[in-house]
Amino acid sequence: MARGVDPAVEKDIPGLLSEDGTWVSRRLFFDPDLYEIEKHRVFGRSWLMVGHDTQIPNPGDFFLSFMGEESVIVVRDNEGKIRVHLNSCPHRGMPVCREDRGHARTFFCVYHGWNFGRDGALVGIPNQRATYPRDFDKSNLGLFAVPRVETYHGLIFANHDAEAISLEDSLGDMKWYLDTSLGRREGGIEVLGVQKWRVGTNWKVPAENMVGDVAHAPATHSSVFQIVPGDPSFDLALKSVLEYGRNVALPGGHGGTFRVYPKDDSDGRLPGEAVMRATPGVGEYFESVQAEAEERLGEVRKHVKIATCMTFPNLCLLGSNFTFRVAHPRGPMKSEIWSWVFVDRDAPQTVKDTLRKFYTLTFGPGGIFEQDDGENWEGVTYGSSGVEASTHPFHYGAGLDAGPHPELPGTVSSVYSEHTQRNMYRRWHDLMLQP
Amino acid sequence: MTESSNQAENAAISLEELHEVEQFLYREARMLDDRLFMEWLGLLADDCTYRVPTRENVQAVRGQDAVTTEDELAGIAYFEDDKLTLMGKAMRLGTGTAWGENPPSRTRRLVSNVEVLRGEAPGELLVYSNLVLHRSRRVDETSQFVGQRRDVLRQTEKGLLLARRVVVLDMNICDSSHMGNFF
Ligand code: FES
Ligand SMILES: [Fe+2]
Repeated sequence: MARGVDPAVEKDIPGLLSEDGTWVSRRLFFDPDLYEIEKHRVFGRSWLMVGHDTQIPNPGDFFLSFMGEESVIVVRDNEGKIRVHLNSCPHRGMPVCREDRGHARTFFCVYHGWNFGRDGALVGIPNQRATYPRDFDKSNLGLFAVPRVETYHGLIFANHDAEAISLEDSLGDMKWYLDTSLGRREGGIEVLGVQKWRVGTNWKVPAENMVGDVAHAPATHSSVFQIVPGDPSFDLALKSVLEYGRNVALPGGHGGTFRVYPKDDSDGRLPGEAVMRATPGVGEYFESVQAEAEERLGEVRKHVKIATCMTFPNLCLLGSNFTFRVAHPRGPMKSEIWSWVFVDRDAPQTVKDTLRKFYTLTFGPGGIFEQDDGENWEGVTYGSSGVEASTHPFHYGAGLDAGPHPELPGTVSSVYSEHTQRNMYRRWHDLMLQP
Repeated sequence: MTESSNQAENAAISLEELHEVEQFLYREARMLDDRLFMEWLGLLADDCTYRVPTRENVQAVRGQDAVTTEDELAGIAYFEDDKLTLMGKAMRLGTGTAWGENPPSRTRRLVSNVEVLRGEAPGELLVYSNLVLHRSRRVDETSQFVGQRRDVLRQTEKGLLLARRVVVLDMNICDSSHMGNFF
């Protein structure tokens, strides 16, 4: 599916990365030509996370989401199946859904009034009898379906590539780690809502941050570690990452930083937990779910918790801040971050409220961590793009100790390692090299 | 936040009260614009709550009632604070390492359309006002946050204190990486 790519740009693609991923061209972060190619070669053939099934419990429930730059409707049809339709009227392209979420019997196009069922079928054309032949075939004028839709722990993924390998195969060993956050409890997770904001950065920058950039935390988030009135818990956030954290690179470009608590640490304390534990019942809740976690995840994974991780290309999850998020591309130097806030579905309401507030305090555009991440992500984007600066590739050589681990799948290292980023960019490069 | 159901019992808001409320809002705006965050905290009641909800696109169902602002506010929030977390945020801005605000942004708050009603509890005033928060960051980045404040001000011996604030912003997504300012 080569789509008129400028041969000069095509010729440059092999050289954008050094063989082992240690050197990465800055063009990845601002070049409009590469960005156009990515739309097809990366976003056109990867499993993209669009939302969670608890957002649409009943037939007719829907929400809008994005696959790359493109608006899609995610809806539960009459049979309870989740469908993903392009939000573009087959007649002239008007978006047939213009609200963030809701419940619909049909999707009515407000331009000429074509009407579509939850399954996407064209069910009505105004004045059809007067306008079209009696035997007019409407069956190929329904909403365009995204051909592949699959879920994992309720996360809804869609793929434009009908031939793509299954979602589970694509996730591979990432499932082993995602389970520790999403599958800790029998009832799974529940989405409480979504925050959306724009950052002047290339979509890969938030992804490479979450795939294992622990090195940024002491400098970027220094202010948070300084405040904490009489409470060592944020400090613990950093300490526990440095002490217990492991950076793991996985096939498919996925990876992350995972805390592997010692086996005698009975409750696997989360960073910032003391803040949450100030609410009665919250500490007890964290402790009470560990037995269930052990039963479901086993002795090893009971002690594993996600710090940050990234499922290629752009799904990130922060385990102790209760968010999974996507940086939707909005041009080579802009992203729109959607951050879904989640909690265990069967948690008591006070626990849900406390965790939601903790998320809001720490992440999202008002969050005391996120603000300074945003500052840096914007900075590295405009700071990279100068005529001269852009000729010098980035060095991703940190971390020479990566290798196999007796208990953890993947290639494992200490946290000050960029091997997870090299792994992510090599995956990106593989896709970009395939026309 | 509902207006007192028993309006008959409510003495009319006096001009002095109106004046005091307006001066409170202007003083508060000046403190925030001048980055006197610790002094600003002194204007908050100890049980102060502070919320800035997200605002969704909602479509009215044909033949049914028009969409209300409340319908748009059913999601989660950008800010969900109490005095302790506001204090933590203010302290953070003073560490010298809150990089998103260091160098600090230049802000100007314009407060208008002040409407004062009796609140639900004795000694409390329900105050609506409109806010334009203009912000200039770095060299040339500008943002505007426009919205309505729904405040509860409490009359105390120390003067008025902010007991509750909900800020309804006129935006669907936040077009900035950074909402590190107080609204
Ligand atoms: S564009 Fe939708 S009916 Fe014409
Ligand atoms: Fe960060």
